[in-house]
Amino acid sequence: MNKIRGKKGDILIGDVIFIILNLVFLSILIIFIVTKANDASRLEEQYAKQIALIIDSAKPVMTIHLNMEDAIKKATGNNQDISKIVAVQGNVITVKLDDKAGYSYSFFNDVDVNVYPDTGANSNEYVIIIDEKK
Amino acid sequence: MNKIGAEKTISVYWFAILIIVAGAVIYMVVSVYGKPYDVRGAESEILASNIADCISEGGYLQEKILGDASFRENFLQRCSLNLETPDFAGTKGEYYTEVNFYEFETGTKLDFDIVQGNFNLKSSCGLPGLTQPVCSQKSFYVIDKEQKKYRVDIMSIVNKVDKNA
Repeated sequence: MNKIRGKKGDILIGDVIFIILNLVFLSILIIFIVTKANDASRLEEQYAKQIALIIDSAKPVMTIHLNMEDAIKKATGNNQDISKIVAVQGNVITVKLDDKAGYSYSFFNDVDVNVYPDTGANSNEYVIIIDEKK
Repeated sequence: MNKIGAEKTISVYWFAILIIVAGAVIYMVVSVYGKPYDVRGAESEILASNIADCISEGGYLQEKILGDASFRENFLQRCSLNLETPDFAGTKGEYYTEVNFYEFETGTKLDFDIVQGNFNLKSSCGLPGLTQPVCSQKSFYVIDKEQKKYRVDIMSIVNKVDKNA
């Protein structure tokens, strides 16, 4: 015990504290990057715009399968109903992955859009059906 | 300077370096993930393509378009377009489209054009900067059923700055 409290021991404790502080610092930095990269709002924006562009470039009658595995995982983690991740109201697509309002983006193609999760083998996919305006 | 003093000085420099590194990383992450995806370029291209598909088919001008006032009046409905943007509150219009027809041989502009959307966006077309509307122009040749040739110029503009820049 007396040896640890000696000169050599003081230097060792200082080095350990220094290393721990560095590790804490790096961990905070990595957590910040990962949090930003996996942000739900980022995914919501990405999918809302992607689906809007898909609808804009589609023609009646088309059925499109979109892989939304990461969005479905995120929504499941946030205790959201998977069947309500994507919603269409008028010509606005809304993607919602958490308790917040979600992200909305409008499309200009004047068509009827029906969106629902694939319940078959491709459970990570959403089905988008484009039909003529009635 | 004794050994302990030198080590403290090194620690201060080391933490200064860490702070600089952290600042740089945070700046880069915010600049990458903080900006929205800009899809206006693709959107305006698709809009111009949809209008081109509406006007011509297989290189032939669709019937009852040129000189037809009814087509001009019902352009949005006939081309299955909805330029309303309920997700942009209080907007005067986030889209603008313009179609002009020219005689192919002489280049003379025909007295029939189609204009829809927010006209104010046209003046910002071509200006530099992400906060300006994005414009796309498409030009193609068509022939009518009497084999007369025309050039069609389509301009499409998408604003939507709030959600893309």
